[in-house]
Amino acid sequence: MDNTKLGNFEAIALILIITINHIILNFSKTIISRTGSGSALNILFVGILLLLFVELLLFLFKHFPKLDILDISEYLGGKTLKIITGILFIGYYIVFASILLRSFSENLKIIYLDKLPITIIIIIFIIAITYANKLGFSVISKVNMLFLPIIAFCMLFVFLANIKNYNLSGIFPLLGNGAQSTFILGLSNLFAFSSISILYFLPPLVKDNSFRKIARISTILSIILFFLGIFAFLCLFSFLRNSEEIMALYLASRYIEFGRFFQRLDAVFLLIWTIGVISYLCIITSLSINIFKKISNITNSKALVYCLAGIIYIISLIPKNISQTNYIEINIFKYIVFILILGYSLFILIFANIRKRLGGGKNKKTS
Amino acid sequence: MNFNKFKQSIFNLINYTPPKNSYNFNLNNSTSKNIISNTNKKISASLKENKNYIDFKYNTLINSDIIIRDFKLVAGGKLYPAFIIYIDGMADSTLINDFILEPLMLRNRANMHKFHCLRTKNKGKKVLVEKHSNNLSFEIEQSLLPQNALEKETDFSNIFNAINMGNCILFVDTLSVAFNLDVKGFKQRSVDSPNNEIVIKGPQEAFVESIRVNTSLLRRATNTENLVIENVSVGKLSNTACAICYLKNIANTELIAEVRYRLNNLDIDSLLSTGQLEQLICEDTKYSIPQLLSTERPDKAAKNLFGGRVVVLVNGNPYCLIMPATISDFISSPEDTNLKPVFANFLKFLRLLSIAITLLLPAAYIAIVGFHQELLPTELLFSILASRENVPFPVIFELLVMEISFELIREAGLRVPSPIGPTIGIVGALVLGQAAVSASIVSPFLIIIVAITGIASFAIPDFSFGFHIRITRFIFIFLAYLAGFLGIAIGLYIYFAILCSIKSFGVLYMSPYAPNTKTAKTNNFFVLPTWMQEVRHAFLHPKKAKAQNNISMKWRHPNG
Amino acid sequence: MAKIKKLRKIFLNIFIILIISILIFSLSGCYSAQSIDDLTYAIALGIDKGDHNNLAITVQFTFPNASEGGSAGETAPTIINTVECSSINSGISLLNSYTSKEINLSHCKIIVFSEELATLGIGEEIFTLSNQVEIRPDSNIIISKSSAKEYIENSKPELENLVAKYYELTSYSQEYVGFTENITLSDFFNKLNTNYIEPTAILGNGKKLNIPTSNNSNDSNDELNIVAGQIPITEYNRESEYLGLAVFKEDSMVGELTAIETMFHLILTNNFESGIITLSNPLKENSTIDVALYSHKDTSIKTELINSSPFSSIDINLNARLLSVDQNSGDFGTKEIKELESLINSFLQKSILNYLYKTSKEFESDIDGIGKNLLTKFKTMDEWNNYDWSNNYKNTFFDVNVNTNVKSSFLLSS
Repeated sequence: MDNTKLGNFEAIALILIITINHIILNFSKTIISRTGSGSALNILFVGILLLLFVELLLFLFKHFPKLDILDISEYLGGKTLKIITGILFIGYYIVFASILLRSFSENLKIIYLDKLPITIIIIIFIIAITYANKLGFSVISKVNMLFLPIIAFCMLFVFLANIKNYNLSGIFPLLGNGAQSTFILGLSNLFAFSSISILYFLPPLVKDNSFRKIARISTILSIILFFLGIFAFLCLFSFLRNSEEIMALYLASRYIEFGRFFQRLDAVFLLIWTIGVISYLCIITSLSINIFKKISNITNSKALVYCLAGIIYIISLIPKNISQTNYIEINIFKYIVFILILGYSLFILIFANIRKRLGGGKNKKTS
Repeated sequence: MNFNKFKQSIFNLINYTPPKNSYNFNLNNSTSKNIISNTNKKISASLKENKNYIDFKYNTLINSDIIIRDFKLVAGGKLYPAFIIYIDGMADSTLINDFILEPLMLRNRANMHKFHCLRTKNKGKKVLVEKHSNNLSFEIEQSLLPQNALEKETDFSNIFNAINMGNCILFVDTLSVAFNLDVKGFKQRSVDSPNNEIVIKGPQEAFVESIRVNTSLLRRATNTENLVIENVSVGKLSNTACAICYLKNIANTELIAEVRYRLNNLDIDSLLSTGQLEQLICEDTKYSIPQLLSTERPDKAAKNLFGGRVVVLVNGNPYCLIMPATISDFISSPEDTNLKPVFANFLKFLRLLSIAITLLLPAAYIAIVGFHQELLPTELLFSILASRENVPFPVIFELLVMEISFELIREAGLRVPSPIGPTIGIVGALVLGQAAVSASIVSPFLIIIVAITGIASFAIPDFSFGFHIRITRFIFIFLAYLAGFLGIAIGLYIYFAILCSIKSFGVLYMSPYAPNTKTAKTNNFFVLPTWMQEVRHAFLHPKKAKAQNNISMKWRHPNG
Repeated sequence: MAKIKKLRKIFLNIFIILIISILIFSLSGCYSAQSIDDLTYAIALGIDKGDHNNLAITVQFTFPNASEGGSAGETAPTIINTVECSSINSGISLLNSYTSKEINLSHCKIIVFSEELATLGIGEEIFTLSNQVEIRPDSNIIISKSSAKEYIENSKPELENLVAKYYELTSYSQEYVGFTENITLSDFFNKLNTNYIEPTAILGNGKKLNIPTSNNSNDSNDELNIVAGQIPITEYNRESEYLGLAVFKEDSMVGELTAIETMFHLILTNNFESGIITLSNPLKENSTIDVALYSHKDTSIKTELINSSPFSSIDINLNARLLSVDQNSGDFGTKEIKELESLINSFLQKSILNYLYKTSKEFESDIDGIGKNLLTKFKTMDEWNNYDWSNNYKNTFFDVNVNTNVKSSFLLSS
């Protein structure tokens, strides 16, 4: 199963589906509520910073071909550092996947499934994730690759079909709450691009020369998608409304109408986004299983699925109501992304590079 | 008198009567032991011994159609006792009379002449010399039997196979070989047009039951000496002849080896049909998805042979198996290469639409009517409400009843005797449907949905794939009833995940759409025009990847 | 032995799946499937001011006809229920306890407020309605000069079977008339939440009013100075109608626009498709000529701050075609056409200027979005909020420039 490599498009699809899920699950609303109408400029600025960060990553990864961050941390600090890194990443992925699952289920419950208890909705998702994970990581990435164009097309369709409702003065005043707020405080909006955490684990899974291409293309596409999303939301809704708690993309899809017959098409879009969310959860789960396999030398990881599914189920039921979920999503998520993905991993890479340049003697492959 | 009779009957009621002997037949373990046949016996030189062994094996005293003809064979001017054995009805008697019995029984110049034999002289030259040696078998084989297909057998197992196939076996006294003569002449269905895979512009030939006729159809279609047809015999008792056909300069050697390996390692008693064989050599038995293509058209089989696949024929069944098969094979029809690309693409789009409708339309109806009513335009909603006003059943019950009755009608339609067939169709469709609507048992809207689903399911070109889709739509109906579009989304995801995980003879099922390797110019979503189909499918890893030159129409671009 | 174990495993799996599915069915106890038979769909919602500071909610249901194909001309019957309550949601739930089926608002086409309620402020109701999942964002908002209940009761469709279709078609037909606009809940809600444009709503009336006699015979467009209820139809089956717009400032109604003023509003906000005006004939005395106006280019509004006082210059470009021709129309040469054009220009300029000052001084409400262009002049949100456009609108100066191109008449060309 791991002998086969991921193709280019498959790997890009893995990263893009996370970005699309973040757009669906209301990250853009968070950004807009912080930086107001300056979000358009802000996202461009953050995007350029992200590109620089990815270039730095590629440069640091160049000396360790076909090694992912777990192997690099093993090179740096032996098995303990590898286990610590693995556990940190697994924890991050699982906790935030559960929170996102809870958030999406709550939204579904509000919109459609009012009478179904939230536990049942979450169990339905968990059953799907368990079954798909038993089939393996390559199957999940293939299904993801099949569905990604459809999901992306639907998202763009929602943006394009609303053009007659656009109000271009939504992006003015350009600097929103002020230059300081847009550029300096707005740096924290980098958390929206947490999809690049997948890049840390990609090198052994893809072919040799395509890692750089994949990283660049997926970053640029993520930035474009996010920019389009924020631009569309700014033009559609007034940014003075901070009281929305439901997915902004769903609200945008409610306005679509073609003539008198095709109105309120949001149910169809919700079907497609549900597939996107399931895809995202399956990827995260199988990635966590792979990480666990790497740090603990298990050969058969099929039974781990049940454990992880149970943990996700439990964690997703922890918050009491939707405002707690949002609080975790907005505040805690941001800091952890910065600390773990941007900070900790960067440190590991930099120190490993320094060590390689200084030491040079010790062989990096110990296991 | 009446009183006596009455008394008798009362006494009969209360008197003791012995138990009645009603006919009671039960199947128990058989009392006779299972005789393990040992057919590794070799032919002996004594004619009587051979004859006794054959009498014993074939139960010639009881079997009415095994014919044994004793005669005296003339060879080299001498007489030898001999007999032929064949099955009446399977061998052509004219051929036996004219070309076996006549040249051997009646004295003519060939069999009165002294024996010839071959002897090597010095310096390696072979010269035909007269000799009085005991080269009877050589003489019979080389000079006496004007028979085009002759083999010398020493094993009884081969003898029995040959007799069962319709050949005639000649045993001669003092010879420890027997002659296997091909005089097959059994009646069979002639090559006819295909019953279940009808195309408009393609050839109208179909496979028949005899494997030799089928291989001849394949040979004619491929017309190349690279076509290899290997014989495999499956089944310990039935010894069914199967043929593995492939083009040896195109098909992947490992694929051929795998097919051979699977067919040779089947430990069954009898193999009677292609469907049985398909179930025995498939990898994934959990899901109902067909993993091997089965067709009765030789042109489709030939096209796949040229593409680099392997075709397996089974004797006695007009369907052949093609492996490996991917999902795009089940969506395409043999018509695709015969039509212009515009028409072929339009038809392909229609077929995809029909698959989507069969799978999802009833489930979508339940989901929309139960959960997402705002999707419908207002007037449509009110007309559905008006039509459901007097129907007492909930939507799911109605839908299941209509679907099951549609499947019943479909199954019954196979067995309706033909004089009343069309009448039943009209009665069933018009009167019953109209009557059900007037009696307010079902709503007319639902009938339209079920009818469209049924028609769409007929448009799926492959029979087993269509069956699989019909079964899966019940699962989707159930999911839609449980959770609306959420259920359908989960069903779709898991369905595609299962599709992506199935392998068919080493090739992933979704190979053209979810490839492992880099495929440059293969035909994936659209049917390309014939002059653009330059490469064979990369997932088959054929020996010869390119099927056409870059510029295949050299008359148009003479300078390249 | 191995086969028996395998069989046992398969049976165990099937058993577990069966148990789980039965558990899911029996323990959840309540599905979300609302069978379509248990719902009744409200197609119109009316909100009035009741006694004691309460609201009076009126809901109109359609009763679907079970018979197939009713005779032509027979409309499907509707049911109207009114309830007194303190808010929309409590009213709906009280009505739910009264009706036999559950009320579902996902096909509600119009939401009618009475003028009495609108002047007090409808912000709370609009927010409540926008919060509900079921309500369509493209339901029309109508302010009725009579009570909402009268409006709904008197909406009998003449040309359609279903009332819902009548509601839909009427709002779509405004595109080619130009005397009122198709305003939806989402439009209203968006404009309520921005501070550079004020919301408007459709003006309707459930009762016919007297047609005002014209005072000024010079102004040939006097007959268009009418609002809802004053359409001069003398033979009618249905009393409800709408014409004109209701002007809001924040969330309370401050005034209304007549038919011709609505046309000017549509021209200024680039929603104008076509409309007809009447002018005095330059060739003949005491006769009028009808001109059909079409939009040519987008209206450009440029706003500047001169000494912290807004100055707005507006450029309007229209196409016109002659509608009424008589035997003298053959005499229309280039000179006459130019005269006609200048006549149209001057009429439009004067009228639009009057209209703009009316919104600015009388209503103090920027319904045309003049402040939208001013937004680009500010750098940050705080500056814009400090400027407080809604209070500064009354100080605006306008300069209107109209440019009309008379193309031709229709079949009989001049």
